[in-house]
Order: sequence, then structure tokens, then C-alpha cells
Amino acid sequence: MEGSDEQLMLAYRDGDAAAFEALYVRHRGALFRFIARSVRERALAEEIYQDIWMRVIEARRRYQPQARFTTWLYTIAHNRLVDHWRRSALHAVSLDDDEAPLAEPAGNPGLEPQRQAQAREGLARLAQAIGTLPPAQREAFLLRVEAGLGIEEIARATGANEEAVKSRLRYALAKLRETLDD
Amino acid sequence: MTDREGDPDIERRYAELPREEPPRALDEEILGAARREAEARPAPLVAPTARRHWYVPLAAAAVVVLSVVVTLQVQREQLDADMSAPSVPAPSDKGARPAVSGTAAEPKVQTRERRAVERPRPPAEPRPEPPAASAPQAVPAKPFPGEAESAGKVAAPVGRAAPIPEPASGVRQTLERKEAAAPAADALSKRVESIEPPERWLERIAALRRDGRHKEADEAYAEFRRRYPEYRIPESLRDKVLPP
Repeated sequence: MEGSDEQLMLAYRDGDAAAFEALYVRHRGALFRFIARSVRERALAEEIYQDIWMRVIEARRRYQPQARFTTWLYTIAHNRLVDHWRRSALHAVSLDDDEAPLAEPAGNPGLEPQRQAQAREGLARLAQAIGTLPPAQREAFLLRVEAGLGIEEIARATGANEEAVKSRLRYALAKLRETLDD
Repeated sequence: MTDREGDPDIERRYAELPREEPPRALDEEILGAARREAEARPAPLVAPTARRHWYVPLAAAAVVVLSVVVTLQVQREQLDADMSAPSVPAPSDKGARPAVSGTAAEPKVQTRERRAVERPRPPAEPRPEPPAASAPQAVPAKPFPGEAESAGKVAAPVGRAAPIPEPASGVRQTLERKEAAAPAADALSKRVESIEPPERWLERIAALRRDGRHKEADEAYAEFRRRYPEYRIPESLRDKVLPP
């Protein structure tokens, strides 16, 4: 089904279930990875992911295309994550806790075995470094690379000001660069 | 860092990380819920957004228009009262009061009271046909038809009272008004009749006698004498007017 995200959401608001399906297919992967890399536990990620989409479904009658659908969707996701952290006080828990680790980096199959191993190691370090970022920096980074949001949209989705978002992104990228250069 | 700035190398490497996706079962569950929601609660015909877009400005405009109309109407009524009251010459009718004063309801009450007072003496009415004299009862209840009736009734006395132009113009002004028109016209017509020249009055009494309506003629003559006690009836009319 063609049309912008906003048009699809409006169509769904007016009762077109197929429009929601198209919208869902567009965003399912990125949203799931955003959640999974924020909470780093697959079962919990699935629960939160489902809850976010249920909130979208419930809010369809109130939907107004005042901003990009993506910004709206990730605002809901941010709020759901904040709820989760507040409820379980997980923001105080070490982010190195790999209770149920996500998939290991696969590397590039076109490279020679030794270089493949190096690449896999580099990706693993990156994944680990992302996991060790402070939540606010990690969230800003993931919103940038997974959702493709700009500074202003990240600020809107997270309720922060643009300068704070720039700062978080700058620190996050610096730490990840440092990890990769080691 | 600007909005478009970033670290392309990190973003490229990030893209090489495993692309986790939600399980198909979860997809089906969410899509099923979305379908059920769409079928169970169809969106309203007028979307809340669209309704909100025009609803508030329309309501505000309606309130403003209503306020202006009511204000203008009140001002017009007051103006009518100011304009019509002085144009009526002070009659000898002791019960008469200004045609319109204060509210629109007041003159109607006054007219009704006056009609009740005047009912016992219908012959004094200058109309040749008595049934027409009872027609004003339609005035308070039906404004627009009443206006037309009042106009018809008022026009005749004004024509007869040609030497008195002021009440005629007052009547014309009154006819143009909606609220105060009926009672004001009614009051004016009675006043115009009450100041009918004595010659016409005597002719009317003579006509009543000619028709054999001596009782009405007697009452009209008595009223004439109260109004014009010093008037000398011409010899030519004396036999036709005086009681036999």
C-alpha cells in the first residue's frame, strides 16, 4: 500500500486495517531493535514492543498528523521505556547485565576467515559499547541510527532540548569511536 | 554537530550488526488486534480532528453574530419607542399613554387594557362595519399577519384625517417596525378616530340613523357632544343627526 506514514495512519484511523498493516511492516524491525538494544533482554523487549503497538492502536482515534508518524511512534516508545525503567528501577541496574543476550554479530561472509574474525570482534565490541552507554546517550544514538530521526525530532520524542540531544549524541559517538579504535 | 552530521563509519558498522526482528507470532498478534479494533469501533463519520477544525470558529462566530443581532434589535426597539411616541399628538383620551415605552411587551398589555376599556362603546368607532373593529385581537399573537391588518386599518383613518399629517407619518414609521408595530398602530388609529373632524363625525352619525342604527347613533352623538360641547350643528344636518 502506497502513501506516507501519516496518510496510512489517517486511513487506519478511518477504519482501514490494511493501512495499519503497511505501516507496521515499515516500522517493525527498527522499532524492535530500538527496544531490544535499550532493554537488552529479548522477552522484555517483545513485551514492551507489543505494548507500544497496542498504544498506537488505541490512540488511533486521537491521532493528528502534527508531526511525522515516526516521531510520534518513538515518543510512545520513549514513554513506554521510561515507564518500564521507573516501575522496575532498571535504570539503576548495570547495563552490562547480559541475562539473555541478543544475537552475536555475524560478520561479513565475503571476507577471509582471519579478517572475518576481526570484523566479528569489532562488531561485538560495538554492540557491547552501545550497551554500556548511559541510557540517555544510547537512546539518542539509537533514535538516530535506527529510527533515522534528526536532532529536533529526537528532542521532541524524548522531551529534551536540542542542545542536550546534540551533547548526548556527541558523547555517544565519541565513546563508540574510542571503542572501535582500540 | 549539525542535524545532518554524524559518524558515517560508526553508522556503517552499526548497520552490520544483526538485524533482530520480532517473531511472526507477535506480528500476527498485533495485526490481529489492529484489525479487531478497526472493525469493532469504526471511526466517526466526522473525524474529531476535522470537527475540531471548524467547530470552535463556527461557535465563536455564531455567538458574535447573535450578540450583535440582539444588541441591534434592542437598540432599534428603543429607537422606535423614541421616534413613535412624540409623533402622536396628545389626544383628549384620558386613558391614552405613549404607544411604546420600554419593552415591546408593555405596549401590547396597554393596548389590551385600552381595548377592554373601549369595548363598551363600539359605536364610537369611526368604521362603518362593526365586525372589522374586533379584528385587532390577532395582533399580539401573530406579528406578521397582524402587521398587515393594522396597516389596512390605520390607512383608512389617516386618509380621513388628512389635515393631520403627523399621525400619518407616525403610522408609516410604525408599520415598518416588527415588534412595536401592531400595538402602536392600534393606539394611533384610535387616536386618529378620536380627533375626527366634527363634520365627518356628524356625517357618520347621520349614516347610522339612515341605516336605522339609532342606538349606536345616540351613543355616537353623546360622545360627539362630550368631545365638542360647543359645536353648532348645521341646520341641514340637524334632522339627520339629532335623536328623533
